Amino acid sequence: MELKDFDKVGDFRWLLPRQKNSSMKVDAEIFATEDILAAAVGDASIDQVINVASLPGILAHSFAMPDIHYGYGFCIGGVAAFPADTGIVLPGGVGYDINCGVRLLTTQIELEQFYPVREKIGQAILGRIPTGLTDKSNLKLNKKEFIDVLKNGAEEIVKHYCGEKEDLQYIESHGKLEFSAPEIISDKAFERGKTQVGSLGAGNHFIEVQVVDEIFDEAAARAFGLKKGCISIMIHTGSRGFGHQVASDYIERIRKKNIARITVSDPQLVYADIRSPEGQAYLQALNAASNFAWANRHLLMEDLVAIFEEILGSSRTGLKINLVYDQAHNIAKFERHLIDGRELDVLVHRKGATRAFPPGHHDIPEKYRPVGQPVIIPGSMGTASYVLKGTQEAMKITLGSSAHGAGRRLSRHKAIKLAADMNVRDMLKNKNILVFSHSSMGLREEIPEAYKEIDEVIKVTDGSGISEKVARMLPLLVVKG
Amino acid sequence: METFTVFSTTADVGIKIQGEGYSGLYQSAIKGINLLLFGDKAGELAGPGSQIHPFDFTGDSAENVLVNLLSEVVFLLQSRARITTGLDIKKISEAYLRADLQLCDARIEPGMEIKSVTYHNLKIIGQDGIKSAEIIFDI
Repeated sequence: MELKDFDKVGDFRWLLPRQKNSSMKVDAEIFATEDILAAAVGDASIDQVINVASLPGILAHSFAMPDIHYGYGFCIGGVAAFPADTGIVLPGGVGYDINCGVRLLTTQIELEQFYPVREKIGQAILGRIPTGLTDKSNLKLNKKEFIDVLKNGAEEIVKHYCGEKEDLQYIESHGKLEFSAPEIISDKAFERGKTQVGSLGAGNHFIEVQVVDEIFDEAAARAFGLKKGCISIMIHTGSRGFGHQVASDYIERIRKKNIARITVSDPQLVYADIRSPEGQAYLQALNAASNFAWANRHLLMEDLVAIFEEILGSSRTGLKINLVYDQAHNIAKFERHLIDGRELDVLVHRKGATRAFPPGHHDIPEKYRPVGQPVIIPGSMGTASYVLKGTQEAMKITLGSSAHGAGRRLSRHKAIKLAADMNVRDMLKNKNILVFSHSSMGLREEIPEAYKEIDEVIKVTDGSGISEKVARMLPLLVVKG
Repeated sequence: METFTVFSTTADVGIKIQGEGYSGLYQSAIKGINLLLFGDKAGELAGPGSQIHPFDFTGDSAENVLVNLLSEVVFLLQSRARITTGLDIKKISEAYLRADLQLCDARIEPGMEIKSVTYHNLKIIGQDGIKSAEIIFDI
């Protein structure tokens, strides 16, 4: 593929017509600047978008968001939908880290209040919240308790451990998808996951304390509780080893049953009919892992609230720490969309992509229905993050989807090499960012240069209309696993 | 004859492995994943371990066997803090492996977290009795 094969069909919208590749059943549509598109052609992530466009029963287009980069099966930033009754489901369209996602908290803590305790808060987070390669949660669950977490997600944490019931409405799907079949979870997944509920993980997972730096949409910012000059807190993590084991287990199970259906182009695109026993079992397991991730982020939030309360000497209410939203960016969900003039029930796969539902949608918190769903897009370590809002345009052109982050540009090896002579901590300190991590190698892997420019990703999402800018936050403190 | 090197892609890492027949290839895979996990310290790990973990797998292909073998290695490290130091093969064919994984307690911290073993671009190639493959891990 070359750039000239793409038709520019709108602001930051590029179409690869199905006629360009005989295996494609639908067009491929990439949301990108010309530079982002060129990079995607170069790193072969476009080939992955084409592979998805070639899957049986795919509806609308094979989409890619502007943080597109090479993945397994789907590219990162990939979105695709299949009929809910007769279509297919693919673990490769969700990813291994099922319900990896982002949670954003807002506060009324002002900078002058935060700076004197910034170091102390960073040390407390690193010391008390399980992070890193071999982290085990502080929460000790027996098998029954763990199964209850898998069944009830964030609701289980609120009911039996900590947190406010009021927060659940600000979590996508209220932090719980239907799961009632623990027998479909392997012993290995149980063993891997039982000790990790309430842990951050490593790699690109992080906790970040930020300041709201600029407001672009006053009304939406007010609805979301974002105030310029006040502290916000972001958590990025997922379903940990549990989700990975579930994904691996079901790739094997679906592969075993459907060996003839493994696409020659990519064995990571193995798929099952949604209504088949394997398809139904995977969807149940996906829900369990999604619930794990929501419970996980809920526990981490409560740990953070406790740290802020203790160090700032005030309650959550006094500090006005509120959950803005928690959204998934590796998931498959049943939704209803208008496709080719028909309202259809579909299974939407979003891998490294988020939901971006518009004003008025019944599936977003009532408080946000006048403005649209918050869309949280973190930048790389050391750069800005953004909150946007979902739009009708997204529903119309991307099945209600948007970008999820900056997207990697460099391999970890290249990043480590580039950062070899850098003192990453000092570099970030010079930008007024304190970083806390158990791993210096981990910091080098995650230098900002390893990622696309977040502003370019935001330019595309805002410019194409699939999400609109509400606020920008700048990092003050980053805790990496 | 076993060789193993580490490489990286935009988002993840992998190992290029090579060995005499499937037996050599799987031995190379164990050494390769340890190189990835433990870097310079991987050399301290080679050899018989203090514990045995049986592995018995019938797959649809050698690639299937390889992914499941390395997935077992990842599981043992992640969940039971056991490092696989060696592979004692009992029975092997193209899509079958019965072996004892030789284990030791995780006395060295891994330098990275391998979360899953993928099939991405995995194809075992054979020439003149030598098998080779590139296998990518989600980290």
